[in-house]
Amino acid sequence: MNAISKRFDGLALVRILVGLVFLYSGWEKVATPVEQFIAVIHQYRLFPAEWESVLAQVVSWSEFVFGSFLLLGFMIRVSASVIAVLLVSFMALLSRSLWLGLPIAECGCFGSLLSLTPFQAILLDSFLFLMTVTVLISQPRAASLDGWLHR
Amino acid sequence: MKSITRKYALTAFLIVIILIGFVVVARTIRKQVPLSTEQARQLGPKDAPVRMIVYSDFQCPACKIALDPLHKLMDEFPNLIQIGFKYYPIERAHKNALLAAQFAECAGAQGKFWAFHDRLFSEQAYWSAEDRAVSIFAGYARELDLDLTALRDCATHPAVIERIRRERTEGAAIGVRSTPTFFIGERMVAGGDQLAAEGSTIVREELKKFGIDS
Repeated sequence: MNAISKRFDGLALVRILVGLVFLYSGWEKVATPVEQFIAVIHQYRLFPAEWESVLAQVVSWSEFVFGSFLLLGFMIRVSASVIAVLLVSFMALLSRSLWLGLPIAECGCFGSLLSLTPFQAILLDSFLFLMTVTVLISQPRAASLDGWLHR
Repeated sequence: MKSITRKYALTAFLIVIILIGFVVVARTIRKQVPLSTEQARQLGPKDAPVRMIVYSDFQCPACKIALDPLHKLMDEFPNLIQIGFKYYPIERAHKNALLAAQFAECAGAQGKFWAFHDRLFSEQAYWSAEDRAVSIFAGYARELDLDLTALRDCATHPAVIERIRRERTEGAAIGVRSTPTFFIGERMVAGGDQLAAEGSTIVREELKKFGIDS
């Protein structure tokens, strides 16, 4: 029994950690003028200019809201799915930038806290993706709003 | 079933409202931080109606590329824009950015900030990855007839490094996250492409505030 509860606590910790990363990353984007994130998206040279501002809003608010949800353990399956989709998109975009040799020195993923090259960002995103899939499969309800709402 | 759906909808609504509240407060606080032009290295007439601040990093390739739209904008509105340069060295990614800023700041103390600025950007690819950047910068200083001893003394002074880092911190406080970031009046423009696309329109809007139609 003890081992099972420890396992659940560990998984809840993974959920909280992923949630925290996305909450912070989203916060850095939504709390600063959107022009900054539009410039980040623009350097990947994939989207038409008219999409960039919409994408900037959608991605930054998705990170912020679903990161918070995951941290709080609210709608865990939905939140983890959204975050997993975001991570796959980021990894695809970063890989494309490396493949094309785009001159991107800093991925622009985490605002002012973390400065990562695209390659470092792919490594971090892969790790986060594994953690997110673990959360998606296990849906740990320890210390979660989902657990509380289903009581 | 209906009850749990209602509970979820209400909880989601509450969380989102709280999150929006945090963002509104953060954005309001940021707007209250004044955009200081103090200590900015200025270019253009002092009485120009449009004030523009550039947060830049000498080692950032995008900053070098953005010089082109910046110069075009100044040519389009001659004598109407004053540029203020502010340091935003991204030290984690650009190993010589801080050092370049130190030398530029001290070249400024001898009245040659912009000449040094131009030299740093034009030779950016050469010195960026160099371990002996100090001697390269000293070479530029010699070519610009700067007093080398005074320049070295100044560049290594802790107050100079502190001033540069303080400008970066101030920039971060008003929402700068990447370089180059421009402020035309109070409007933020991030990157050279945004400047090329929107710069003229924003400058015209600023000029209208002074009753100038261009």
